[in-house]
Amino acid sequence: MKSDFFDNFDDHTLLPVARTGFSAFSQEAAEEGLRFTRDLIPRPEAVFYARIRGDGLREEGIRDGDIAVIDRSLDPSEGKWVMAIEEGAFALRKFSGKNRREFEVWGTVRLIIREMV
Amino acid sequence: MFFLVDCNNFYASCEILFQPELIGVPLVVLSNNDGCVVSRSPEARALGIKTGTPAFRMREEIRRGEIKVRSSNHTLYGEMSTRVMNRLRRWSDQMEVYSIDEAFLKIPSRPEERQRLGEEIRAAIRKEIGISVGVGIAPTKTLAKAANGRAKKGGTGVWMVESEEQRRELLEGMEAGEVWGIGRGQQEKLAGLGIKTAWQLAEGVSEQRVDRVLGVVGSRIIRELRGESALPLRSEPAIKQSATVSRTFAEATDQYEVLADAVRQFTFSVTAKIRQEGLSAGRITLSFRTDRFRTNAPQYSPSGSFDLPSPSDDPFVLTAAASRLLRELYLPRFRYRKAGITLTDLVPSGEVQLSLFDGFRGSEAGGERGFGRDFGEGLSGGSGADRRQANGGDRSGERGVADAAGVEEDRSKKRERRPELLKAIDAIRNRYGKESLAPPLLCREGKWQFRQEQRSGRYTTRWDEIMEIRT
Repeated sequence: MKSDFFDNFDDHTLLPVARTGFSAFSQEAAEEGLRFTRDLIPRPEAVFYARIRGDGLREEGIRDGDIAVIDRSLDPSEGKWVMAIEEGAFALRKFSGKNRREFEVWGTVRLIIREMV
Repeated sequence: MFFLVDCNNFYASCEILFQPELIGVPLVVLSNNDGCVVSRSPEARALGIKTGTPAFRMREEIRRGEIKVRSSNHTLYGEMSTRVMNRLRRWSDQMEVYSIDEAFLKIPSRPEERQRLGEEIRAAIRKEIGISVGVGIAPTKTLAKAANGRAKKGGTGVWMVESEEQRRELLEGMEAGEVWGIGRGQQEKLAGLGIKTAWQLAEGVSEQRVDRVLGVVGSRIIRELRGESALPLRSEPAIKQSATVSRTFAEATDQYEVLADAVRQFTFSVTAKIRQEGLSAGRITLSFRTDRFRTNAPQYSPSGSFDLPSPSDDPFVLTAAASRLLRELYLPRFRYRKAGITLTDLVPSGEVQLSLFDGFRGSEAGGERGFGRDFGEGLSGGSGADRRQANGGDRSGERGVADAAGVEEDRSKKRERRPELLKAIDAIRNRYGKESLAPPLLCREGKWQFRQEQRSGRYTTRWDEIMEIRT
């Protein structure tokens, strides 16, 4: 009995040896653990990181030391934070149809990360 | 259909992307040792600055701030290149990465789609990665290269060669010497035969005559120019045959300690390279030389090799061997400017058979060139009876050898612990960067390290060097 039979199985129909013994319900419900970069940043080629310096946006909830995760593949849209170039330096601005002419968009802010430790 | 994608002014473009203060300004990126221009922004090109221009020729303008300067930031360029190549791979898995900023792709496509595809590639890389590329599309690699060259000159940045007319137009507008694979000397010889344009090279000549001038590769080039693909896409490179780390020093030196530092660092680096590929080396070669441009100074460029009793990827073993070679070859009062370590006879590490003489016990099994005998004895921490010593050679190198080997009694224990130690070293260097852990520098000044005075941050590989947004 050669392997032709098994070659035609899809991957997911082959039960991992270690899982036998669990109930059929848990096998069906089994999922892989959450992984930050794989799930939130599936296309890393367009993703860059920048450090926030200064307290100018404290009221908006963005603080000195935060890391902005910038995604260049996203198109900016109304009300979204973008990393912009203004007067030869990077700045964080809220994009709007009205003010778009005032600065060049480098990329859209997807996430803000703050280390609490 | 081959698509050749290549980045415009790649190094300069990387710098400008992360430093918006450089937008619109003449910028040059300098080679190692901050010597010559290797990349320039369009504004610098407009000033007439060519690649290869030595930096000192622009001293005044640089001092006045009219031309901005950056040292090569290879870490940054390498990572940005990875992004570009990974993004390109999404169009086709038939891809050959030709250099840090160029790749050939074979994209299955209908003729009417190709121009649009080229523009899509260009737009996507520009938007997502911030790098501007040109695309050449043609039935052969050589034509695609030519088309790419044409694409850079203007228009949409995409140039396609499909029909006979397009091929003729492209090649008639190019000199024979501009064809990929034709060197300067050959261009002259061809001119002697009346061949000036690439078109004449492609059509005006028989393959036999070309063979004489261009050699065996000549007929391949001609076929490629005629639209017949003779150069296939090269897939992943074959297993490495050798690994080298070789550097020119910022300043010449006659000091043994300085050379010894350099040699140890280079050996450490090159060993890390082969370890990364899972290889071990059977032979280590050290070469170093005086400055060949100082024609009045006495010249000395020795080189020596050591065959290891069994292939090794152990930086301690290889550093010890390199130090030993240096002690044998070094002569004082010569001013050395360049040194290099090459590892050859590379084999996958798993295949290494442990030798009875593994490491340091050996006498006869020691290796070639008479070093082995001395090597073995030197490492047993014993007498230096037969050991030839170069003038003033009995220093750090000696100590390094002794340290690496450990004392006689502990040696077997140390060899057992070694794999964990090496793994730990690799892990630390991977996580914190290559400079975080290296053999101790004996000379603090590091005279042999090349200048990198104006290097920008490693914006994509170091958390402590990422871009900053001021609020």
